Amino acid sequence: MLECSELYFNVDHGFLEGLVRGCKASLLTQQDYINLAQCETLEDLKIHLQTTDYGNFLANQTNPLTVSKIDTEMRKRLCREFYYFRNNSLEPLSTFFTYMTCSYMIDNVILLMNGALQKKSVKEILVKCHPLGRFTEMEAVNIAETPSDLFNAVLVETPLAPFFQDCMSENTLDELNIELLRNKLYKSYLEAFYKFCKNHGDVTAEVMCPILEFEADRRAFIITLNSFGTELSKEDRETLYPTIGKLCPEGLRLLAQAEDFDQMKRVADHYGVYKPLFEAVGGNGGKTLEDVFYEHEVQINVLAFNRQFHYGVFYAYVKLKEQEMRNIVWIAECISQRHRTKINSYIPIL
Amino acid sequence: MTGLALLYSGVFVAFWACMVVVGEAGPWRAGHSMGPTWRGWTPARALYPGRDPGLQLLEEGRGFLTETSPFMWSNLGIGLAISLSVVGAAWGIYITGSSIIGGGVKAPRIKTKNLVSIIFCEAVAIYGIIMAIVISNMAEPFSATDPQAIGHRNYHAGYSMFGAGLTVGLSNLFCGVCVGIVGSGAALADAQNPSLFVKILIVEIFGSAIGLFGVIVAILQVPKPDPGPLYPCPQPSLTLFLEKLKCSSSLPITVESPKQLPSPHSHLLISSF
Repeated sequence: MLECSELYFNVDHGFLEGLVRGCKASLLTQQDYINLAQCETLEDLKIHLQTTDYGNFLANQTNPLTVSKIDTEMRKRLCREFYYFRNNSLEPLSTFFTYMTCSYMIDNVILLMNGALQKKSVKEILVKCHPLGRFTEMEAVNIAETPSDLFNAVLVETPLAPFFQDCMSENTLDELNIELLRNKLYKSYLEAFYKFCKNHGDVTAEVMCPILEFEADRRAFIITLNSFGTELSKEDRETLYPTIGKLCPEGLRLLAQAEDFDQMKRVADHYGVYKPLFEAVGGNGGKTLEDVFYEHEVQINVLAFNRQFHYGVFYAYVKLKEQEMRNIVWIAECISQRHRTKINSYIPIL
Repeated sequence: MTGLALLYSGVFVAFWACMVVVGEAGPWRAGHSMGPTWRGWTPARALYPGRDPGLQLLEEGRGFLTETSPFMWSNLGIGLAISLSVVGAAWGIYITGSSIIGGGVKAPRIKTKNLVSIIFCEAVAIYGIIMAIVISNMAEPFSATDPQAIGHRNYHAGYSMFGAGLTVGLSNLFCGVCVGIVGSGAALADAQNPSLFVKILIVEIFGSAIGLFGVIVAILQVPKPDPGPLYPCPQPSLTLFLEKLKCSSSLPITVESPKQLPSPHSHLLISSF
């Protein structure tokens, strides 16, 4: 009786669930994408977007319209929706939303630190930061020299504080170490998020845990792919893999030993879920591994909407909206650069 | 969730505390004739030497069941009928209502149509109040305090009313919750695709039917209204006379009433007075 979320979910979260399902219904359909792909200029794109749920979001933009302006406005819109959900949520949904913003915060912190390393001004970098990952004291990130400085001065009051346990070292922050820091932070964050969902139990755990497991495995594959040909040692590589996915422990151990793409593919062949994904790489569509992973992510996020009374719908909606934004940016880029051969490589959300 | 757990455990503890108190009250009040006299109060569970433990449990149960007036049972039944039905209806209404409000932001057309789900939940509360009124009309006052004078008919009436109230209350509770959950799904599905609403409404109608089953069974359970007053029970006057004799003396007199159902322990019921 106590595990039945149907009985008491709607007390605190019924309204928001209804709202997010309504928002999901207004995502762009296949027909909308076909219309957008037929546009000749970005102005046409803007007119087509006015007929969808986006409405007049580009109304106040000065000419000429650029792809980055479209991207920024879409992000602001997503941010407004997200903050509406978050402001109207109660515990434990509020903690869930905080976990969702942590991944953007990690990206922002790394962006700021890279910018500081390259001696760029803070204002420029702040413009590029993802609005969902905003936290106070963002400007202070560039003064830190070592991770422990960073922690004590800036991040101790943000939600990222618990994820710093594994990253505290006295190494100065250069480019390689910043990337290592990003991956270690992300690993801690993912494991904490997974534990939160699992402890919540019930339908939320059933929906969110497979999604997070896939995210962990995807990170492992991408880290491996990016480390071919760099000076990252195999032991270091293994410490960066999140341990919550299907690949742990055997697959991760094998992946750490992989030297090239074929060896990685052989590791993936052991797992029924990843084998067809790797086989789809290359092919006649020229898909990269990342494209294949995005498609799979869209599929499992759409499945989250088949069940009611859980928090996974909020996570899935934000991820699907991001994919939609990537699609629109891709189409807009193809239009603005007049390179229309691959304009149909977007991933429709069905 | 801790609030709910607290509520359940509190109700549980309160109920059993009542059982224990009421169960003790009878044998304690009947003090001296319960066997060897004892000074001060000791719990009825204490085993006295030479007493058969099986008998003792029966006497305890007997103490509780005969010390509680049938009025308590009938009024508990009436209370349960209305209160559990209202809990079920309220639960269902809030589950459906919050989904309708959420879904109605992006799809305002669903707001009016989905009030039908709320009406189905409300119907459950109406069943409850009708049954409560029907049951309460069966209750008529009588005055007697000892089990023999109360008579089996009154006991039967009391237990039936309790049973009827419990039946309709619990079935309406679960019916209300069921209709609420299905109604929530109907609202959200309607917001996505208007043709789904009628199909899910059929599921809701089936869910509503189970509350009706509870009402039907409860109507069958309540005691049929007697043409005359319930008390005094129509008994042969000899029995009445013997009863009066018995009350005034302390001799154990076996009274055989033709209306009494044969029971192996009936001598126990009488011998304690």
